[in-house]
Amino acid sequence: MKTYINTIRTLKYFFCISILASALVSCEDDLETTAYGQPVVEDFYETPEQAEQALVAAYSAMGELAGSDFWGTMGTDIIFGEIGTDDFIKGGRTAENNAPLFQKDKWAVTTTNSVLEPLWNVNYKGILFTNLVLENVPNIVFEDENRQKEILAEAHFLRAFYYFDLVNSFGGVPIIDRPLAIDEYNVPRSTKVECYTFIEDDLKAAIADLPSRLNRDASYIGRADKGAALGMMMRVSLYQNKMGQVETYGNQLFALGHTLTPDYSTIFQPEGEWNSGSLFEINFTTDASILGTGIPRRVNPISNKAGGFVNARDGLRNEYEANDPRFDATLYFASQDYGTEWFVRKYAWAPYSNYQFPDIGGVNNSANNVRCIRLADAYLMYAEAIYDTNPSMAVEYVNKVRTRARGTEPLTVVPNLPTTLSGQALLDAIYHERRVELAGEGLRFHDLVRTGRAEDILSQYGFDINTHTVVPLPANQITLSEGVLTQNPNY
Amino acid sequence: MKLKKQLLANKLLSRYLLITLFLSLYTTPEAQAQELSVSGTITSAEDGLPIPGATVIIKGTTIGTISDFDGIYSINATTGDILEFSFIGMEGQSIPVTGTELNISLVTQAESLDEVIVIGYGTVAKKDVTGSVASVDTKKLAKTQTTSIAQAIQGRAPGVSVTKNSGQPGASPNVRIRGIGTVNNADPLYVVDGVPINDITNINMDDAKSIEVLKDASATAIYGSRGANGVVLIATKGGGKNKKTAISYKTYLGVENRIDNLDVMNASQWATLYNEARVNDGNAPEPAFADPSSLPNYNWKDAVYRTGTIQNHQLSASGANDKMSYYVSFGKLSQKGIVNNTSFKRTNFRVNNTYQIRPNIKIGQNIQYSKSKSNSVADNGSNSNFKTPFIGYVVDPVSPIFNDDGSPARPLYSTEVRNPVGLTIFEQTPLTKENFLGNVFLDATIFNGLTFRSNYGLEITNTKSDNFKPAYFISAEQNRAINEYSLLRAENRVSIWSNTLNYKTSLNEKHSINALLGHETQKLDFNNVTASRTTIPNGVSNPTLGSGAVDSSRNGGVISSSELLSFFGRLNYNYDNRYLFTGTYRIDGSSRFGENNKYAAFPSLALAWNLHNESFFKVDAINQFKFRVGWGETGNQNIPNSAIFSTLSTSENYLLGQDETTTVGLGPLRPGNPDLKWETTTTTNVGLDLSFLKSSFTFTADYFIKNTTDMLLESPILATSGYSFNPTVNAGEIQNKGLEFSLNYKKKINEFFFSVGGNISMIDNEVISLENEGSIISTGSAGNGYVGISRTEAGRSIASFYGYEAIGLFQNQAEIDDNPSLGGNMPGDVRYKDVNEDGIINDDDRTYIGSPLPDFVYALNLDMNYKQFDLSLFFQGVSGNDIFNATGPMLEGQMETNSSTTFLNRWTGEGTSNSVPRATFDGFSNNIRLSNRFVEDGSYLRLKNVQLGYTIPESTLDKSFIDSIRIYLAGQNLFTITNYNGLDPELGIDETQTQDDSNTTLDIGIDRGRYPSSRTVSFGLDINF
Repeated sequence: MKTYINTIRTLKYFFCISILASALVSCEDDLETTAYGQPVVEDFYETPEQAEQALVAAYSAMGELAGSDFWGTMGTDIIFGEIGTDDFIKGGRTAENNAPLFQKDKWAVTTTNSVLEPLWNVNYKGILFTNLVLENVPNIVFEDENRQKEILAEAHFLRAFYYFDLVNSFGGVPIIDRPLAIDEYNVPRSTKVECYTFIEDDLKAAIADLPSRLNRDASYIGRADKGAALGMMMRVSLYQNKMGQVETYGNQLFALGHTLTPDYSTIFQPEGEWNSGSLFEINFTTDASILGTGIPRRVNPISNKAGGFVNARDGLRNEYEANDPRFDATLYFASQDYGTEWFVRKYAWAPYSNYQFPDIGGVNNSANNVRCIRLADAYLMYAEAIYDTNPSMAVEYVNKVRTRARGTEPLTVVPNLPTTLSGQALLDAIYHERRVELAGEGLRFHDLVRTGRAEDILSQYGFDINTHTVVPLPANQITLSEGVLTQNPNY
Repeated sequence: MKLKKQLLANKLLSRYLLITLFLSLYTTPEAQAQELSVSGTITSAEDGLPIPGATVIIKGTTIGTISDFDGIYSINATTGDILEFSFIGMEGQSIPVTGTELNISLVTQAESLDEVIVIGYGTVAKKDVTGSVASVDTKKLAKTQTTSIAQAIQGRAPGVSVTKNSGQPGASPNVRIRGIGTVNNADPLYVVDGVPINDITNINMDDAKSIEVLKDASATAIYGSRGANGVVLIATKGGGKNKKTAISYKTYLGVENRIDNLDVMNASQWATLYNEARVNDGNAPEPAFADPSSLPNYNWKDAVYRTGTIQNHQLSASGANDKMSYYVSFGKLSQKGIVNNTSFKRTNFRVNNTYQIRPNIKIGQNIQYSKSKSNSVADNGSNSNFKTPFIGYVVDPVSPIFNDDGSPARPLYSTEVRNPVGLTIFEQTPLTKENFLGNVFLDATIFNGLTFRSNYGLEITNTKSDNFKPAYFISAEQNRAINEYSLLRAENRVSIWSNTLNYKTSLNEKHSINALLGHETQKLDFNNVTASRTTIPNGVSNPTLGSGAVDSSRNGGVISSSELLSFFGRLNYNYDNRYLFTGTYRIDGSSRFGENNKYAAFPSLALAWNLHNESFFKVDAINQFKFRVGWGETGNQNIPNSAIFSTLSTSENYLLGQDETTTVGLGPLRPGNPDLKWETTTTTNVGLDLSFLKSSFTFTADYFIKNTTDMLLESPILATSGYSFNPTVNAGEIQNKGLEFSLNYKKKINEFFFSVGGNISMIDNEVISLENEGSIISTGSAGNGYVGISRTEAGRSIASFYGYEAIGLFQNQAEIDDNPSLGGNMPGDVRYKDVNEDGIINDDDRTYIGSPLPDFVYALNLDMNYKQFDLSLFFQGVSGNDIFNATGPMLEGQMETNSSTTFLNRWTGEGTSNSVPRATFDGFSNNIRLSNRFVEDGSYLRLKNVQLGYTIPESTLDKSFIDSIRIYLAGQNLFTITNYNGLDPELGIDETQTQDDSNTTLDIGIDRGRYPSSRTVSFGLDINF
C-alpha cells in the first residue's frame, strides 16, 4: 500500500515536471536562426542610402590594399614596384631582411611571394563590390536620379582602377563583370588587350557621368570625379601607346580648370592633399577607425621607427639637375646599417615630413594619402603623346612642370627647355622629367616597360624582359583553378 | 576508481550485513580450546587506505564478519582456522590464524569486471559494455602533478592523443580522440556531471571521481551531433552512502626548469662564423671581430628564464548519512612559469550534495566556482621575432643584454630580433577567467525499474582582460610610442536541460533489458566587448579605460547564439550474460543549419559476445573473452552560427570629404550557404577484451574505421569571386583507420606489489576527397616569407608539409653548372631537386616533404608497492611524426642571428658537408627555401612522471586524529629521448595562428619557437583525517 502511495506521489511530481518540460520545449521548437550584428544580402541594396553604403565599400578595397593589409601595402607600386628598378633598391635591415621584397630586389619573385595574394585578391574584392553596385543600384528607386547616375559612374571608375592595377601587375586577367554565383568563379584569363578595352569602356562611362570636384563642395573630395577618370584614361592610353587618345583626353582634362600647386615640396605634405593639381588620391587618416596606411611604416628609416625599405640608387640621385628643389622634396639621407641610406620623403613621417607618427591605432595607421594621379603627370603624358606631332606644345607642357619645380628659385635652376627642342632630344627630356618629377611614386617601372627601355636599363639588376614585365599569379590560384588559370611565362 | 569501488562496496555492505546476521543466527561456533578473538585492519595494497566493508569468513564455515569504516574487523576463530578475506574488485586472500592480530592488505584486481562505468545519460556495468570506452584511472592521475584534466589524460587511454601546444602556465593542450577526423575544430566534447562544457581548464583534477573516454560511435552516438570527435565524461566526487566524514588535505610544492634541447653558439664561435660568411661573400671581415676569442659573451638564451615554482593545495570533506551526502572541496593552484612574468593561479571550490527527500526521490546539486588568473608574454604572430621564450636563442651573443642604465638593449647585429627581456617587461597580457559550473538534478523511481531523471546544467565563463601597455623605447624596432589601455570582456554560456526515463528489468533471469528515452534542450550564447584608448596621462598610477584620450576610443563587440533540440533513446539487451546488444538513436535539431537541414538522426548499433560465459568455453586461465562489434553515426556542427547567411560586413569603410570623415560601407566578405548540413562521422569498431590468469592480465584491442563525410569545410574558392573568406560547404571526406592496444599486468609477491601497463595506438589518416578534384587547403605561414607550409589534399594525410626537396649541397662549380640551380648558387649552397625535371628550380618543384601526424603514440606505466613505499613511473611517446622547424632559417642560415651549434659542421670546402650549407649572407635566400631541410623527426619518448611515496605506518598514527599520511617526491618530464633539435619536440597545433580570420586547427607540428615544457621536481603530502 505504501509503495502504491509513493508511486502515485512520484507520478504526480513526474507529471508536473513533464508539463513544465513540454511547455518549455514547445517554445524552443522552431530553432530560429538569426545573424547577429550584420544585415544579410537579401535584405540589402534596396534604398538610396544602401546604394551609397555599397559604393563606400567599393572604395574601401583600395584603402585596404595600400593601407591596412600588411603584404598588400608591401606589394604596392610605391614599394614592391620601385624595388629593383634603376631608381631604388630594397633597403631594410640587412640584405636578407624581408624575403618577399628581397626576391623583387633580385628579380627572382616566386609564385608564392607574399605580396601576390593581396594584390590579386583585394583588387578582385574591389571588383566584387563595384559589381554589386553596378548590378543592384540601377534597380533602386532614387528621388535624385542624377546621384544614381553618379554612383554608377563612380563604380565604373573604381572597377577600371582595380582592373588597371591587375593588368599592370599580372598582364591579362579574368574579367568579372557582375557578381558571380558560387559555381561560376572559375573564369579564364582574358588577354591584355581585352582587359584594356574593358577598362576603357568603364572609364568612358565614368567620364560621361562624373562631375568635376572643382564644381562641387568640399564634401565631394575623396570621390572619383571627371578629372580622376580623365587622368586614368590618359594613363591607360599611354600604357597602350595610344598617343592620340592621350591627347584627346588630355584636352578634356585640361579644360576642367585644374592647376599645378605652386610649391612642389607641399604636394606630399598634409597641406598638399587634394590640392588643385591632384587628380586622384587614396584617402588615409590617423584616427580610431583605423583607416590609415602602412606605407610610411615600411619606407621610413629604421631609426625613425620603420622598416627602412626603398632606398634610392645613385642613378636616381644623379638624375636630378643641380639645385633642383625636387631633390630635397623627394629624397633625404638618414643613416642606416644597410642600404644606400637615401629615403623617399614623399611617404615619410616627422621629422622628415609634416605628417606625424600615428598616435592612434598603431604604426600602420598613418595619415599620408596616396597620390595616384597628378596634373604634372598628365602634362608629361600629354607632352610625350604630342612630342612628335607638336613639339613646341610638348615643350610648353614640360616647362609648366619645370616652372613649378623651380618655384621661387632663379630661372637658372631647372631652366625651361628651349622651345625649339624636338625629336629624340625632346623625348629624352620628357623621360628625364618624368623620372625626377614622379620619382618614388611607383611609375618608373611601368614607364620603362611601355617605352621599351626596360631591357637595356634593368638587365644589369637581373631583369629578364621575357619574364619580369609582369609578376606571377599567386600559386594557390593557379592550383585552385584546375588548369583554367594559366601562369605567366617562365614562372 | 577507489571511490567508485567504495560506493559499490557500500551498496553491497547492507546486503552482507544481513547475510552475516543470518549466518550468526543459524550457526553455533564449535567450542575449542584455542578459541581466539582475531582482529586487525584491512587495507588496500596500493595506497594503504583502510577498506571498509571487506568480508572475512572462516574457510569451510559460514561464520563471517565485515570490516568497519576504518577497515577494522574482529572475528572469533580458533588457531588453524583459515580466514578468507575478500572485497569486491580485490583479489581474495586466505591466511591461517596464528595469533590475535592479523592485518591484511588486499590487491586490486587487474580489472574489475563488476565495475560500473559512466556512459552517456547513465551507467553500465563494465562487463556489459559493448562500445569502445576507456576508463582513465583517476587514482593514477592523482599521482601526477598536472594542472589540467586534458593534460592528465595524456597517454592514459589508447586512441587518445594529447599534445601540449605551449608550456605557458595554464595553457590547455590539444586532445584528439582517434585521429583528426575533420578540418574543423576536432576537440572532443567534455561533459561534466551531464553538462557539456566549453573550457576544461576550469575543472580541478582533484574533484574528478571518474573520467571516461567514449571513442567509438556506439558509445558517442547518444551525443549525436557533437559526438564525432569523441566524448570525455567526467563525474565529480560525491559523499557516498552512509559514510562517516572524511577530510583530506593534499598539497605539493615544486620547482620547474626549462627543457632545453637547443644549443647555440658562444660569442667566439658566432663571430668566427660571421667573419667567414663575410669573406665568403667577398667582403672584409667585421673589424670588431678581429679576435673573436676576445669578445665578451652574453648569455641571451637564459635571459628571460628563471626557476619556476608550482604549489597546489586541495582540502576536501565528504560524508553521508542515509538521507543526504556531501562533498565540499576547496583548491588553490599557483604557478610561476619558467619565463619571467608568466604565471597562472586558480582558486576553486565545489559543493556536491544529494538529498533523499522522499523514499523514491533524490535531488541534488553539483556546483563549482573557479577563478583563474594568468599572465603571459608576447608569443604571438607567425614570425619568430615575437616569440619571447625563443628569441633569446637567436640574438647574437656579442651584444650586451642591458644598457648601462639597466634597460633592455638593442641587439647590435641581429637587429631584427627583439630583446626578449623587453618583451617580458612591456608586452604582457593578463587574463582572468571566472567560471561557474553547476547542475541540479532530480532522480525519481516511479515504480520498480522505472526511473526518471531531470538534470539542469549551466556553465558561465566570464573572461576579462585589463591591460595597460606602457609607452617605452628600446630601439627603433622595439618600442611603443604611445601608451594604451585595452579591455576585453567576454561571456560564454551553456545551458542544458535533459530529461530521461530509464527502465530496467529482467525476465526469466536470462533476459535483461535497460531502456532509456530522453529529451534535451541546449542553448549556447557568446558575447564580448573590446575597447581601448591611448595617451593616458603620466601620473595616473592605476589607469582605467576612462583615463585615455576620448578621441582614441576604439571598441567592438559580437554576439552569437545557437540552440540544439534533441530526442534520444537507448536500448541495452543482455541475454544470459552471453550476448549483449546496444542500440542508440538520437535526433538533433540545430539552429546553425538552414530550413531544410535543421534535423538529423544519429543511429548506432553494437553487439558483444561474452565467449567466456558459453558453456563450451572451458579455458580456466581465461576469465574474460569478449568480442565486440559496433557501428554508428555521429555529427559535428562546429561552424560559425551564421554560416548559412550571406552577411554584409559593416566595416568596409572609407574616408570621404575634405576632412576625411569615416563613412560606413557595407559589402559581403563570405558567401553564405543556405544548404549547409551536419558533418557526419561513421565509425565501425571491432574490439576484443581479454582477461586471464585470474584477471592479472588484461588485454584490450580495437580496430576502427572512422569516416567523416559531408565535412564542413571552408572550401577555398578562387579569389576572382571577390570574397575575402571562403564559404562553408559540406564537402570532402576524411578517413581515419586505427588500431589500439592496451595490456596490463598485476602481481603481488608477498609484500611486493607491482603492476605494469601500456597502450599503443596507430592511426592512418587520409583525406579521401575535398570539394573538387585538385582542391587544396593551404595553411601555415612563418617568418622569411614562408606561406603554405602545410597542405591538406585528397590522397594525403591532413596538413602535410609541402615544399622543396633539398638533396644535399653543391660541392663544386661543376655540379652547379651541370644541374638545375638557383641564380647565384655557389659551391656549398643547398641543392634542390628538380621534381618536374624541366631544368629549372621553381615553385612547381615543390612536393610533399613530411607529415606532422605520428605513426603511433604510446605510453607505459609501472607501479610498485613495497611495505610503506610506492613508486610509479609513467612514460609517454610519439613516433614517426615530422616537425617543420620554422626557426631553422634563423638557426642555420641567417648570419646576423645566433646559430645552432649544428652550424659548426657547415660546408667549408668540397666534401666537408652535404647537409649544412656554407656560411653566407648573400646565399641566405636560396639556402632557406621552404624545404625538407627544416623538416625534422619529431619522435620522442618522455618520462612524464615519476613518483616515490612513503605512507607513514598506521601504528604510529594510532593515537592521533589522523587516519593516514603519505609523503612523496615527484618529477615530471625528467628526461626526453628525441632527435629533434628545436626547443621541445612536444608541439601540437599552434593556437596563436589564424587562417582566413579564424583559428585554425590545421597548423600542426610547426615550430616557430614555443614556450617549452618544463621539468618539475615536487614534494607532496596527502593527509586523511
